[in-house]
Amino acid sequence: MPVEDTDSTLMRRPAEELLAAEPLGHALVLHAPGEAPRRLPLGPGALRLGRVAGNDLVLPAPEVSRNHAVLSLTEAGLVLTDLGSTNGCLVDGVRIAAPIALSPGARIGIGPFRLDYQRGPRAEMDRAAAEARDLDRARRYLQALLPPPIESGPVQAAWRFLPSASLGGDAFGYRWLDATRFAVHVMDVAGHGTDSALLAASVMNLLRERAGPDPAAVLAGLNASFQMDQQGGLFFTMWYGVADLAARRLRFAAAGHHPALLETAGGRVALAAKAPPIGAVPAATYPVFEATLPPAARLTLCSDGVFETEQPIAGRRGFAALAEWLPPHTTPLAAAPEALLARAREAAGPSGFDDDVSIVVLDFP
Amino acid sequence: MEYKVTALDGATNRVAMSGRLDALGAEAIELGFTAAVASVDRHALVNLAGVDFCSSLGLRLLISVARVLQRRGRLLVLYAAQPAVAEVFETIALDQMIPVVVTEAEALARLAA
Repeated sequence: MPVEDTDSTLMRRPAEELLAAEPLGHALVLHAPGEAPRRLPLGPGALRLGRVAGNDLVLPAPEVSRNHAVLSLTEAGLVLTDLGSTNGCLVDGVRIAAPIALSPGARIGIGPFRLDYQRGPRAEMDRAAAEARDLDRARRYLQALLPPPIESGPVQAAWRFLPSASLGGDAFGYRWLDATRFAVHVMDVAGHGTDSALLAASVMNLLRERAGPDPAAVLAGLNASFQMDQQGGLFFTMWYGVADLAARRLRFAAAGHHPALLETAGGRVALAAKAPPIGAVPAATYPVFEATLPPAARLTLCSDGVFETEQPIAGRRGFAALAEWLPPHTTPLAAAPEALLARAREAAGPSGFDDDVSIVVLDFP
Repeated sequence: MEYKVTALDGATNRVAMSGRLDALGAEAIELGFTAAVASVDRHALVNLAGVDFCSSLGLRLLISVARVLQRRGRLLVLYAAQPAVAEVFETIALDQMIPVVVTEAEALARLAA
């Protein structure tokens, strides 16, 4: 390939990629002779490279000039400028003649040193490729714990679960406690990654055995078992409800979780209960509230990943947006979670969701 | 995400935070913020006027630092939260864990209480 082509490619690419909406992370991997590669995250501003002290990165070798080059993170991307060095700077093997915007993966050669430029969405940069495989296994395990949809009977259930790239610690479950009482919960661990998924899985497994009829007792029990100091600093939010189908009543409590939405022929109400997240306060108590379940009641629970997107493009965000996005009450149950998800996705914009998204919809015909 | 620590007196720091306290913001400042605020034997009055978003990871950072200070007999007090951030605090009942007030004068009054 002619040198000119290489140069123009290098100059063009970064500008195109800046169109990506998500914030980017930048790093250099320094390969020094005889040393293990070292990863250097780059912040905004200039990084001066040279042989002598006073540079931001000292490259001690005779082939390196005293003040050799400067790397500047600007709106145009990472720009390498040679400061008139004796031996020059190579980018992908070609000596640069003028300041150059670097493409991700570019290899800078300065004397015996090599600097590899890495760029990507910041969050993803921090979670290395090796971790992705482990996360994928954790995701499959979590998904296996989720309950199957229920298509008929006195309680029907449908859901959508969209784990984020890094796993956000969402989980949910529901089950019959006895012939007339049905328990449901949604939880969201304050964290990302395998540790959050492990905590979510522990709680789900525990609730399979320990889901009880009293929401206050269930949340207090979890709070006693999962204090953040003993959980690697993790805590989680939960909404927990028990529907009594004989009495047509729903008793619920929440630990730091936003309200569930109950739709009936009479309208829509937010089922709110204020208390701290599980694990955050040792002796927390969880007030229990009640709602009646008239015929054709629909209960929607979700995680905040649905409405807390980092860069929303359209309309509102926050819990207030959720009620606006709910599909009409007449939407068939099986289609309801997807319909809500579609509205949320539209509002999240091109960068998509940055947290797990869980939506559980229950019908009480 | 940025923060600036100013000594108000020998026992109290004012910490002005600004930016988005989301997953990336919290991760970016976690080590430095914890060292600057939680590793010193001073109360921390945290001015949130410049914070326009706070996610669960942001909350986790504030709660962890507050717990460390509490164990040492020091207080972390939050003040001047914007409405969207105050709504998140309300949802998770943050005021049951950390004092949340509106003005710096109220924050100082909490220390005296």
